[in-house]
Amino acid sequence: MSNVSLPPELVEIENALSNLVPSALSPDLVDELAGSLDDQSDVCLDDEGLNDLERHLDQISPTTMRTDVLARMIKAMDSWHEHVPVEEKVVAFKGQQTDQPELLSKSSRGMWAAAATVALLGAVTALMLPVLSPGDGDSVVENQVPVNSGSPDLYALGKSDTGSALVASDTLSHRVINTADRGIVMSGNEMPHRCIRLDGMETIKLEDENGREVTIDRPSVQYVLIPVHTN
Amino acid sequence: MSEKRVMHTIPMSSVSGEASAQAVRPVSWKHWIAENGSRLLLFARQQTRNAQDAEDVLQDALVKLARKVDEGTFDGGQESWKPYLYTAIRRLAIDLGRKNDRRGKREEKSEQDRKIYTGGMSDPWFESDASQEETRELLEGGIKKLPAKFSEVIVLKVWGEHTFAEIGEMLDVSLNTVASRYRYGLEHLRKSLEASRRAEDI
Repeated sequence: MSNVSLPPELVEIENALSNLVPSALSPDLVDELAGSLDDQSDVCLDDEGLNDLERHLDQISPTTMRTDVLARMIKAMDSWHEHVPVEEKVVAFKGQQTDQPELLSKSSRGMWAAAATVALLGAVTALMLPVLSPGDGDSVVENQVPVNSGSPDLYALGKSDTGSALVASDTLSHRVINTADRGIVMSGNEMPHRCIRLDGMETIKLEDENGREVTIDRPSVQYVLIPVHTN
Repeated sequence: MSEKRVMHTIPMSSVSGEASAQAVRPVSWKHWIAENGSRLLLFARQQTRNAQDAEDVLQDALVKLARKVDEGTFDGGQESWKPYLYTAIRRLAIDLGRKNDRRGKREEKSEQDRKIYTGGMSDPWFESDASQEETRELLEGGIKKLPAKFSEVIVLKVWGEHTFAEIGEMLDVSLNTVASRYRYGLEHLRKSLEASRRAEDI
C-alpha cells in the first residue's frame, strides 16, 4: 500500500486501518449539505433571533433620494464631460491679485514662488542674451520700442549709441504685477492643468559711455501650467 | 514694445488606463437613477458616514459610469452597473477619507448643519411611518454603530439585494468571509439593540 518501506508491524497496522470504512452521512446532514451547495448565497442563521432581526431590516427601506439630489445626479450623468470630481475642485483665485507676497496664503506660496522663479529666469535670460552676444545685441535693442523711459533722448540713443550701452550692475529686475487664474485646460496628452497667467514688468537700466542712464520697461506675459491630480 | 509670451508646463505622472468592453446606454438616466439611487446613496452614506460626502461620492461614481458607458468602454452589460457603482463608491470613499485630514471636523459640522436643517433630526437613512419610527431609529442607530466591515455587508445584502458571492467580488474578499461578516454583523446589531432596549426600560 505505502510506497515507503515500513517495518512489518507497521504494515500490519496500515492494513488494518485500510480495512476501516468511513461511516455514512446521516440523511439530515446530506440534506443540509445539499441545500448549502444549491444556494451558496444563503447563510444558515440557526438563531431565531437573528432571523427576526433580518426580517425587521428587510422591512425598512432606504430613504428616497431628495428631488434636488436626484436632479443633481441626473445632470451629472448627462453632462459627465463637464464634470470635475469633487476632490479636484480647487478654490478659485481672486479676479485681480497683485504681487504682494506677504498677502499670499502659506499653502499657495510654494506654487507662486515656483511660478515667479520661472518668470524671473525667463526675464533674465531674455535680457542677458543680447549683452552676452555682441553681434546680436545691437539689433535686439534697436528693434525694441521703448515703453517707459527715464530719458527724453532714449529714441536717439537706441538709433545711434546702443553699441556702447552697458548693463549697469543691480539694474535688472522683474516684477510680477498681476496674476490671473485662467481655469483648467487640457494638455496634448489630455491631462488637466490649471493655467495661471503672470503679467510682469521687466526693467533694465542702461548706461552709455557718456554716463547717460536709460531705463527700459518691457511688459511680459507668462502662462504657467500646473498639473491637477486626477484619479 | 511687444509682449513676451512664454508657456511653461510642469510634468506630472500619467493616469492609469482601464479595461474596455461594450455596454448599452439607457435613453435616459433619470429612470435608472430614480429606481436605484436610494440604495446607492444608502451605501455611500454607510461608507462616508457623512451626508454631504455621500452625495459627492455617489455623483463621482455615477459620472464614472456614465463616461464609460457613453465612451463604450464599460466592461459588461447593464447588470454590471450596480456592482461597478458599489465598488466605485467604496473606493472613492476610502480615497476621500485618506485625502481629507479635516474629515472629522467636516463630519461634525455637516451633521450639525443637517440637524439645524431638519429641525434637530439627523438625516435619516431609512423611510418609516410613525408607528415604526422607534424601531427604525433603533435599527439605524445600531447599523451606524457597527464596524464598517460588518455594516457594509449588511447594507449590500439586505438593501443592495446582492448575493454573498457578488458582495465578495465587490469587496475583494471570499464568500465565506462575507457570510461570516454578515452573521457577526447581525449578532453585533442584536446585542446593540438589546442594550438600547434595556437602557430605555431603565
